Amino acid sequence: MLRRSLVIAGVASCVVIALLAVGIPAPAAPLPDSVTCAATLSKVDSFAPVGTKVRIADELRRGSFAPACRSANSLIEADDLLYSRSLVKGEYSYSLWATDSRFHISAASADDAAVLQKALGDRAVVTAGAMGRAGRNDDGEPHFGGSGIQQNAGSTSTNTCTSGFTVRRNADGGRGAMTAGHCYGNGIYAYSGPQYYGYTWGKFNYPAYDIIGVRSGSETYDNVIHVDPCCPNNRYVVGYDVADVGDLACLSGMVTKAVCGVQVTSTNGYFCDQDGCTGGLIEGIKPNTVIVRPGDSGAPIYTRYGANSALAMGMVIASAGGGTIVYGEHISVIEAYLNVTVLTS
Amino acid sequence: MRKLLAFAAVLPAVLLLSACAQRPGTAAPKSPTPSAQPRTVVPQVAALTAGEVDKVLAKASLVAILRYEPGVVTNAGTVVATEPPAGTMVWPGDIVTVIVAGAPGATLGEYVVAHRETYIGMAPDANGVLVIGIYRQADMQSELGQLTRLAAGKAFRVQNCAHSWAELQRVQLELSRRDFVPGADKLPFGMTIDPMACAVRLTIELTDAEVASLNARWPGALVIQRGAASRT
Repeated sequence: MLRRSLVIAGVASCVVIALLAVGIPAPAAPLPDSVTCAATLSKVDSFAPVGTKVRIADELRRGSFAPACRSANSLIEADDLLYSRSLVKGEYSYSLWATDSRFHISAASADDAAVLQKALGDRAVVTAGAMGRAGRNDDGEPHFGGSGIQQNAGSTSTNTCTSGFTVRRNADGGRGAMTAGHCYGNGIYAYSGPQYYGYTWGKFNYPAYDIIGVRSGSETYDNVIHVDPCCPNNRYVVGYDVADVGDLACLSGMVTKAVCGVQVTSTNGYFCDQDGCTGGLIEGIKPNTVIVRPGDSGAPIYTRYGANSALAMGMVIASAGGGTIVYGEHISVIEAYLNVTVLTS
Repeated sequence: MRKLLAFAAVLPAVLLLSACAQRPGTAAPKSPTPSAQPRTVVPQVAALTAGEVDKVLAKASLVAILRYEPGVVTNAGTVVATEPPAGTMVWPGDIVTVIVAGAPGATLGEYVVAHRETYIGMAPDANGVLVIGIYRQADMQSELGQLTRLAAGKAFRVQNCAHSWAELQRVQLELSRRDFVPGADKLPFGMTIDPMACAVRLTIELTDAEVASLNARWPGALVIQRGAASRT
């Protein structure tokens, strides 16, 4: 069954010190869990047009959500400036955070960061440092799901697991992603090859739940997953598709890459090993085809929606039958377990 | 589209079968031995979605049977209570009836999952035809009309199964104890209830003697498929 939702983060009152960091950003220390702003969320019962993005300014103009601690017009103006690239011509990425009603911006150069900060004032939190979108195994900002990741910095060939869908924490609006719980412990710094991706959090009750979160206060994340090798190489995540037996799903692990035509054969499977058992899993099979390999854990399970979009279904955790059978956690279980919402806009 | 009804055993050709799930006269899988396992507590699952409940109750070694209450309209799709209630001491393998607000979804798959007392499950065969496993004690005639309506022209066939979903779930719970053969606690394996086989399908690397041992323990309720498994 299709559950369609477009979630726009709203804003509330806040007190946050604007930051201007210069130089290569070191892995940020974990953010305190205390929430400085209560998030106001508003669900819009429609999709963005397939293959397109939803502009923050457009949603503000439409009244989809109402910021509480500063005027909508001030944020619309900021979004228009950022979107039009009229302030600087260098690379940057940005998103509006519900926690502090500010645009969090990562700029490629210190000069650009200074210009952006001056122009946007307290509406923005700007960090500067090396950035830039690269491939699945050296995923830069804004980070995508389906990226190869590893503990500590390495090369594109030393990643050990795959990131799942990107998410927003319901408690504080912070952004991040997810991966399989057996990949890492809490509090490690995850990199996509040489690029910092975030630190891990939220793993408990493993192996009943094979899930861990990845987050960062300084990195940016987008509602996109890598789906190379082909056509397209990325897809926007715009909603959910709850797994039903008979569905044809796709996986996108960093080793096997995107594979479609995986038929859901069960929504209540088990995987067990020396760690114990993980139950309540999606099981999928593509006969006579290896669809999962070591390193694919954490990969998004999704269905295609239109030419450029995807619907979130789950996350790969294990394989059987020599890689011809995949097991994955349901996206609803992951959202409830980590108290997060998949980024769909 | 032509609807297919078949009541004979249908086993997937891709499986290396080591037991026939339709063996007539097979004994029902035994419930986990109460004396061998400590009692367990019915966990609190109120406000969870029906999809999340399976994971929680499986961890407590309990069998979840869903019961939708269309008259409860608040928070439809979430659990409002269990029978017995949370906190009750029960034996591993006992059935917990999970009461869910609202009506189940309108698809064939959602109907089958919502009626585990009647159905083993649903799975597509190699030709894409949906195979629906129905417990042999169910009222077939009354169910066929409902299935036909929900299928909305899609091809399906019904398979009569000797074991109920609850009986097969108990087999899974016992296997998940990982003591079914010496060293099982170190073995990686995957499993699920397969309505085409009317049995639990276990994917694992075992010796012939171990396979024989498991078939003798759960006759007709277990299909073993050989193949390496791992967390990836």
